[in-house]
Amino acid sequence: MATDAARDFALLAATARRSIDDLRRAVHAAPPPRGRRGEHFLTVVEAALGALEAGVADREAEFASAADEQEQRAVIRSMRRINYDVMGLHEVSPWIESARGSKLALGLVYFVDELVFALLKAPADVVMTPSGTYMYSTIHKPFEDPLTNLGVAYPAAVLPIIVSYPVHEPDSLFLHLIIAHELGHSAIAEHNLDQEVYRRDPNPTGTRDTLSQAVAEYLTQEGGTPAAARGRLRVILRHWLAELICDALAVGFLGPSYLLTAAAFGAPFDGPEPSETHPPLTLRTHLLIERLTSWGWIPLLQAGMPETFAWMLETSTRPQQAAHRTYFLRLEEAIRNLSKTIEDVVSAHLGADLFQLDAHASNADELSALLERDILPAQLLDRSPASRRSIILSGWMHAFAKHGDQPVALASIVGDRDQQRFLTKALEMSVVLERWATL
Amino acid sequence: MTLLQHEALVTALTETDFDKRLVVTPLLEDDQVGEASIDLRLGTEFLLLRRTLQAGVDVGDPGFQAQVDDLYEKIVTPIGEGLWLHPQQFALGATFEFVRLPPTLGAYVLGRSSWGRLGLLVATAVMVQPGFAGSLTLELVNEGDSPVLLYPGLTIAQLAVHSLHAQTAFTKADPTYRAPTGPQAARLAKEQRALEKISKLGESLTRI
Repeated sequence: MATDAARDFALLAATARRSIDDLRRAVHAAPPPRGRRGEHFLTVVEAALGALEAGVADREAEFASAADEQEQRAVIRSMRRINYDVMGLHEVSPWIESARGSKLALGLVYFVDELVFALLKAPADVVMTPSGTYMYSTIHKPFEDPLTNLGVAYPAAVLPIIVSYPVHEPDSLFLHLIIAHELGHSAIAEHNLDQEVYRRDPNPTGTRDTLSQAVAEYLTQEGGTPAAARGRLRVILRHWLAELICDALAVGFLGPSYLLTAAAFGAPFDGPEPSETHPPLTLRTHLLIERLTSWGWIPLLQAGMPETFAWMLETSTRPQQAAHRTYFLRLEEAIRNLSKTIEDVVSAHLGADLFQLDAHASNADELSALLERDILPAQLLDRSPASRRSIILSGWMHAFAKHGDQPVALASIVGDRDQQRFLTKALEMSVVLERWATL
Repeated sequence: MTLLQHEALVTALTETDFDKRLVVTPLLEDDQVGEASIDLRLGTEFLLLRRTLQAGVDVGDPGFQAQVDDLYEKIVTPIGEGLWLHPQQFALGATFEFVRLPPTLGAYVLGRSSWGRLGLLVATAVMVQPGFAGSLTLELVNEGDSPVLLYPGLTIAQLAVHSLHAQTAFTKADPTYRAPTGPQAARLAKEQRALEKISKLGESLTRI
């Protein structure tokens, strides 16, 4: 007769196997997308399922050979952890669906490919998936940790990345430029760009001193031990630096379009208040404008949307509202001292992919004329494809001309889905035209 | 009214004044401009008709547009892939090219006969008005007995462009079809308004 432990274990193992089978059926519900987007991500899901299944088999063997009930109970605890892992894997169900086919327009899908090459310098399997949470987020190399813990080598030849976007914004091209920032996180992970910033810090002693001052203030305001305070502040600084490198990569590749996107998406939610994961939006805006100043874009913003740009400039000078937590002000000091280094690292990383004002200016008038007349701005009069980044930037400029040059117009511009679908179609056509010319 | 021949088409396509230019973009190859027409390619977006779960489609119903929208399923087929169109299946496609006619030109969309000989009917709403801007919606019906695989990017129709006797000053702003970049489902707002009038006419006739 089965013992209580045996009955418990049997239920746990059967539940794990049932759940693994359900997920495997979801993966196999359609033919695998061989040679297409999503293929590498699904390979990783299969590997994770296989590893979990092997884990169940191992636990079953361990349970069968357990010497006594105490050992059996240890195996049950271990089995329960596997069940939690399997339960966690259900989170990927919407990603599996998205891996088979994006609901996003082809123009955006192609543009994300372009972003990947510019930011990661290598192909990646980007799965874009709608999320009920109103935000963009990235999961770089999904399941890397659980697979490592289960002793399985990461199976994908091409890096999978999951990018979530707000479910009700599938056609919001202007907001989707946040994806450039999100892919920046993968670029940091793959190219150690944050370490490169620290390595190139022209004043490491100054950075250390500022951090020490932040530690002292932290201990006064929050208590704890110096080691814990230093560790926590280093983590916050690392988060902030990552966000700012991502911002710099996005604005380096997209030019002023990213500043406008960041304002449209961020300003309704964030202001001068810091958090442990993100620097205040005001500081981020300040640093974006610094980058655009270095790269010569400011006159274009002042000419195209003077009122809105003046508002951005004003918000970027608002002081950080850290309340009693003055250690955040020290972190801002450290970041500001690294600002030029961030720019240098990002410039070097982007190389020829840095969006140059001259490259845009040569097409800007023609693209503007096309947009004014509702002509798809994909192909120039000389039959060459318009640059995707110029299409987007011209689209922003045209949108301000249409909706008015006021900060509030950011909401109506993002709400003008017809205009963004139009621009996204132009991106698709431009890519097709460019590839056609190489055949 | 004169059909534009090759040289006239090239001139119209390269006109430097945007307001007078015939726009067909993107043109992947020069030889799409033929003797007296421009070859148009199949675009990547389709609306497939499906059987409605409603009673039917009634232009006199206030919920008509919702009934119509319920009829279509949007499919995106990237270049490099294909869409099977089965016998008697109907789909709306769109031209790959975005077309804009200046006020001096009109045009007709014609199916390419090679497809027609396979049973594929390409367009029935053939006339393009002066001033139109957008991708042209193609009504695709497979009248043959064999499924046909449709590949976006292949030339499927042709645009025959003609001049007008004089530039039209009449422009009919139609915001429902403003610069579409994909197939457009039926929009019968004008017919709905007309039906109201016809209904009133019917009521008045009944009372006589």
